Amino acid sequence: MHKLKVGIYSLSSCEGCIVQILNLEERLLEVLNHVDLVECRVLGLKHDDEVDVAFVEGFVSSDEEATKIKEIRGRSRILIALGDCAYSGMRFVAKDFGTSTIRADPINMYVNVDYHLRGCPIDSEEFLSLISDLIHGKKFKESSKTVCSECILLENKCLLDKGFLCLGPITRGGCNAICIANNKGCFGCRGLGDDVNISAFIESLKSKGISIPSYLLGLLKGPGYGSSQNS
Amino acid sequence: MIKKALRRIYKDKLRLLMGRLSEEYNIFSPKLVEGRIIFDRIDDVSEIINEYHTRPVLPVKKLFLPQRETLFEYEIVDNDVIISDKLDLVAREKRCIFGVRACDIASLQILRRFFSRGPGDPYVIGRLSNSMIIGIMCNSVFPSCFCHFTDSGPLPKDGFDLFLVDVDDYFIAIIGSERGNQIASKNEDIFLDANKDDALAIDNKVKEIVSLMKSPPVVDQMVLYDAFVRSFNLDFWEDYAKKCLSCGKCNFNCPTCYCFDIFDEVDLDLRKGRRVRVWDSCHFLSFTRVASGEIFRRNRSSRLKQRVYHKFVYSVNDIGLISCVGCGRCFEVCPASIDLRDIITKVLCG
Repeated sequence: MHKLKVGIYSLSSCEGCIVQILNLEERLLEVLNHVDLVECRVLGLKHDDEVDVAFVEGFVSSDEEATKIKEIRGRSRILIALGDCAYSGMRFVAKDFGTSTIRADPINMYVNVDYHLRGCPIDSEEFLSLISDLIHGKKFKESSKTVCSECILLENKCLLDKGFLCLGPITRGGCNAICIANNKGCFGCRGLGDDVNISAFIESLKSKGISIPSYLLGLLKGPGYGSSQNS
Repeated sequence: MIKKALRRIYKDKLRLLMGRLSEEYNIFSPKLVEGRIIFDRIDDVSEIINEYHTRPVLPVKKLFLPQRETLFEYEIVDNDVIISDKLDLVAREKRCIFGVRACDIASLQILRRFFSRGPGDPYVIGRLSNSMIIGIMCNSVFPSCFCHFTDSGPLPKDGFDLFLVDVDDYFIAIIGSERGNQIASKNEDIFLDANKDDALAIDNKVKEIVSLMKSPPVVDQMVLYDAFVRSFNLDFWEDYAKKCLSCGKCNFNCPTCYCFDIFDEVDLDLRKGRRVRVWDSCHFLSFTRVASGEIFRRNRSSRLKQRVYHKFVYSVNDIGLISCVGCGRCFEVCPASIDLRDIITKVLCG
């Protein structure tokens, strides 16, 4: 079987998503039996030729990076946005929920993206299932599950019912509600779900006496941040 | 008045009974875990909780249809495929589920019918068959309870081995099966004769619980079925769809929602893998996504209606029963506070 040539490229980021990949430890070594990892900054690997799969983490914060992402796209068969910086320009953190003016562009402003791995940081199990699908020549499919639906599986007490802001009902799942399990409201790092109902969510917050953050009102008229890659 | 055989168990003997049963069965019961009450395996009978004021978020369904279950594993060995079916483990385990409320008992009967259709599902049916059910009647109601309306409680008609009714310092034990009868005969020191007033005491208790419930006026289930069939195209569904967040919580904590997804997890070298089943929700767009990418229920109201109509119409067509047991868990957790009782009332007024 032809071994996939894989590169992991970094733009402006904390490289936390790469740490999530390295956290796979032995299982990562098994993945490396099936792919050729040719570029990864933290591992000191450098490669300027064509690759089958390019993982790109970080957002675009300069013209140099805008040129770099286009150049990477030009020599990659499949391009994957790794983590919320690459996917959304870290809208929910670095850009202070859309209010900051710093330049933090999602990479799909410049190039076509084949798949997204969501979250801040990414979920290492999800990385594993995506790379496994690519090795097997399959399409990677995301579920439409919400963070809320994963939270109830843990039998957590609902933070909204306790009067705390939590974006669980409108955020795409896949993180196993890790923040709520640790008693912190979901802040939406995995982006909006497939068919979110922002106005109903705002009504729900009002009825529970939770103050409405301004970025939610912004989402009411925002572009398709939550549009699904698979539909 | 109840027709089944009755016994008395003094409350201080309950742990003794469960202790004896634990020698033969794995015991599952509501227990306290990090400040929450959940249904789980217990190691010691002192963990058993028979009275609680916040109910377990997930119903006993999870013990019969787990959230995530490996059905079988496979491996290629010398050009042969070796399959190891997890059904063997299901068949081997003897379980006793303690503290099951009437609504959950009714739900297990519904799941049994769903999973008996066609070739049947040996995993779910296997667990239903080798689990002894010891139910317990509610002493109070939650604000969302309406099991009287769906004819599933507070006293279950069937589907249990023993059912305990709390009266003063003793339980009246209703014997619901031959297995329950054997337990009573083997433990004559615990199962004392019932008093002639005990049947009346059960009746009074049922009346008291029913009077506490905020239930829509009871109607014949065929009347309800017809009303739902007539209401399919009414405008109010869109109003509910405008409120619904499609988060899927109501599916996962519903004691009768049984839809699932099945997929294979294959190891990287393609020599080993497992077939996995996980719960799925009809509120998700991905639920009806087919291989071509087409999605059949894009409209939120069509997904909301799918869930409600499955309970009151499709289920009747399929297994001859409505599949709502009136527990109200769906609107207890609904972030949009969509109350199924309101929907039912609207449909009946339709």
